[in-house]
Amino acid sequence: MKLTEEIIKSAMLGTDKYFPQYLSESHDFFAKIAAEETEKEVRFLRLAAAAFIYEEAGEAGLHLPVALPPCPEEKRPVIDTATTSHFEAALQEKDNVLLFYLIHRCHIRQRVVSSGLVTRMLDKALEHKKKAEALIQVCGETGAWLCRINPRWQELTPVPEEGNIWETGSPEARKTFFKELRKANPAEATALLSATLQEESAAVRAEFIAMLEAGLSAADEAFLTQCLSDKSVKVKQIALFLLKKLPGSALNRLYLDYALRVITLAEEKQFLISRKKTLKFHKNLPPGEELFTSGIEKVSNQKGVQDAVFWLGQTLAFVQPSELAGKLGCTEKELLDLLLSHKEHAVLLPYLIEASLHFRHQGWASQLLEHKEVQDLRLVQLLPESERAPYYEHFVSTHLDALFAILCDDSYTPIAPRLAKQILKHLQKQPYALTHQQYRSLTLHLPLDLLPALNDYVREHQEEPNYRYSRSQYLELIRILEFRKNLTN
Amino acid sequence: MMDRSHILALAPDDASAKAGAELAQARRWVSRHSHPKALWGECQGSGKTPYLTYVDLGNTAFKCSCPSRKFPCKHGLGLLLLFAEKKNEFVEKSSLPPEIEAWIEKRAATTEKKEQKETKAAPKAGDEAARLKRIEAREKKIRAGIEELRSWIQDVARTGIMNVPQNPYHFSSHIAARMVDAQAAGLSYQLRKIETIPFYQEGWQKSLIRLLSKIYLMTEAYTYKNTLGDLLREELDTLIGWTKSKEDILAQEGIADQWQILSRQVENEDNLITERVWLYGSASEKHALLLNFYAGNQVPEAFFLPGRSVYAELVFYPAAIPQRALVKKQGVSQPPDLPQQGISRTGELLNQVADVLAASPFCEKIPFVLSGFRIVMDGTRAFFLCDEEAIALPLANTEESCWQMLALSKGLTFNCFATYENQQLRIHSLWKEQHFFAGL
Repeated sequence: MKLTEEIIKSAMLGTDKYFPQYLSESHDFFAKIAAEETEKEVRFLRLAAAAFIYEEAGEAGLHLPVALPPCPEEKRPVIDTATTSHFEAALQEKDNVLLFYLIHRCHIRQRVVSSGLVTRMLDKALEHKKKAEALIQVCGETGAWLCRINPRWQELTPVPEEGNIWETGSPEARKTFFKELRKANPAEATALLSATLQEESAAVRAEFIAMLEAGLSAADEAFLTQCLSDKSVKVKQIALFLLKKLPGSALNRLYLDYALRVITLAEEKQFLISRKKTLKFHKNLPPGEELFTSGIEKVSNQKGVQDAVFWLGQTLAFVQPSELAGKLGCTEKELLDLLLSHKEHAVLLPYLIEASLHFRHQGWASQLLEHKEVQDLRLVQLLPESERAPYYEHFVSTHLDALFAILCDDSYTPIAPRLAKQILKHLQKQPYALTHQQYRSLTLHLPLDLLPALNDYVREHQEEPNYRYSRSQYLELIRILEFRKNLTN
Repeated sequence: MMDRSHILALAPDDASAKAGAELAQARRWVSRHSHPKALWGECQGSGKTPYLTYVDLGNTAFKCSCPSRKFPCKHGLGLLLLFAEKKNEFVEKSSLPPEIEAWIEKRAATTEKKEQKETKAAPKAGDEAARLKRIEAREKKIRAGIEELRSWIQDVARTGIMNVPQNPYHFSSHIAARMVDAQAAGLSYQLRKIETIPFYQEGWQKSLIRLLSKIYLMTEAYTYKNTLGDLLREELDTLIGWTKSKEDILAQEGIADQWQILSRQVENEDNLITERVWLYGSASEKHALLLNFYAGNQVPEAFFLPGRSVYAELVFYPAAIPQRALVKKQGVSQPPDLPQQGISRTGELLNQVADVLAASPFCEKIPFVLSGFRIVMDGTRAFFLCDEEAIALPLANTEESCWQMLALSKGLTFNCFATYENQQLRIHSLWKEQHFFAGL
């Protein structure tokens, strides 16, 4: 036994109970100390002091023939000192808005962060799982290397799961797997889900069935119909929704048939030579029980709404516009024009919007957006990106929050200058419409050309106490815009 | 080489660092000027008149007309940070404005005057008798305290330490307070270290008995101090709690050298700030520790920024292994000339440790410049610093800091400044070529 171990044993028990043994096996002077004619405790403490110094002075180090796996050479260039400083500042001040913007820029410019930042960026990735991929990418080879050797960061770069992901994978891995399979082979995905559905919990069943919306086709009808007898109400609702919007499904045909029974397209003479198309609704044709059980409500909760029009509206939400127009013998545009000019159009409008959204009908979406009574941002999202900006302008004063969520996305696409100006103009009047964080996020999407206008605004309102809040927000906008302007890489 | 993290490390608290960082924008300054010796600028605050801020680049000192009681204030930090990041935002001036020149001259004159005062101060004849009487009285008190401490440690040895983890604070708090009463503050400090032992971890037994036996050895040595060599006796006196007057120390001849600032650590405990700055002399190859204490609103006269160097004359406190030093004369802060060669074998390092312990068994931290070492992990994922022959010593740095060092070094060899303490190494800073990383 080593002398120091003897000393520790004696220290734990107390010298009254145990005094270090085997001293003769150590250096002579330990035996000499032990043989001194003093109290036992004094001898013990002298021995302990000498033994620990003796041990330390004779320390030889540990032979550790281990090596860490080599860190691969960085393939991408490292950001410069100025950008490193910006990263440092964002991390130190926990300014995630700016940090994610800097990461985005690094990503676009194919740069990696300097090695001094890597560990903090990986810790950040653990906090923000959704952004983890971007954070790890920007850490380059050093980050990937550290993730391989640090168990805490290993979860950030999951190795492809071995074996059957569908059966043994993590929830996230299973979702990704199913999404990919649905994209590549929709029928196989439905078959896989059908085979194992009852082994899943209700929430998981609902989640996976909802994923069938991507690539929904007639081949899914049988499975979805089967789901209607599921124990879970949520599962049933999702299956029903998908069946209703699946063109050609029995349920969808019921809706179409009912709509065709109720609507008649008539042509009337106008000014002797021209003919005018009109729509007529047969109000004495109630839907069958089957439609009611599929979710059609019997009575509207709004006053003055005729039941027949209410039933028709609900049906129209799940009828494909092109199919209905074809059967009625008119174009989709004509059909919507006729519906919007009908005296009952106010009741139908929300359902027509739903129909556009369910069937992603761009034509109806733009036509509806032109209608003065329609204010729905979801419709704008159906339009090609290049056509959206003018429509967004209608929502600045009424739906800024929702608009902000759409405009300030992760791709940092600059907001169209006209729209940006309009937003700023609105914020001058309503400075509290956005939070401080939203202002900061907005700045990262504003075109840099706005800088002079912002400076002018701040100068003009320098001394006015009423503008203190908006002025301070504008100063922040200017600071971030200047920061963006001066970013080197 | 003055980078953001080094400058922000000078901030008195996190709020000042954040506010300083926000002021590091050209827009926030009405004017910004630079000169090789100083920076100055006007910052628009909430009042009508902008605050005038000066930074002495030579000795890294700050002055500001703002009413903040923090030092350095956010304006000083902001101006220095802006200069470090965007030099081109400053208007370069060939001469200093009279008021700034006067400030710098006044600081230099004050330092010189203080140095002279500290160097020349000699006790009056009448005072000497009173001083000796005071020393005698204190000696008596200390010896009585030491006797009490020895009895206490012996009691602990007799009854055993098994139950200490149940209440580690109360175990030594009474005797530590008693040592303060006995004017043996050094012993009290040693006893308070018991509270820092991680009693929840395996190995606390060795740490505790090692510390207790070391304190006992100090008391033994003090009892027989007349048999010790002069230097070890002086070192022991300091460890027990005797203080040396700065005047006496500064009266000695110092070592003038280009000192590389390798580490600066600041601890704040009970409103007492302890600053430890480790320096390394390029020519003398000596290590020096500047140990400063600031109580309440006291502020440092100058800052030592890690990663910079300074030409200075340092005087060491007498000790068997001289480490602690005072600045006798100080030049301006300069870019560093980091040592590229240091000890490269663990065996050589441990031989030096043995030599130091032989000369002074009480030495707690032994500084080293190391080169060609790398970080490795063993099977239990504990971190070690390993030489090329695979001989390793455990690292005392936190796990977070070890990962940071791995990221910086990418698993390859590097140069570093480390202190050997309790059979472990603590890395304070590392550098590869001229890239310097401190605050590890």
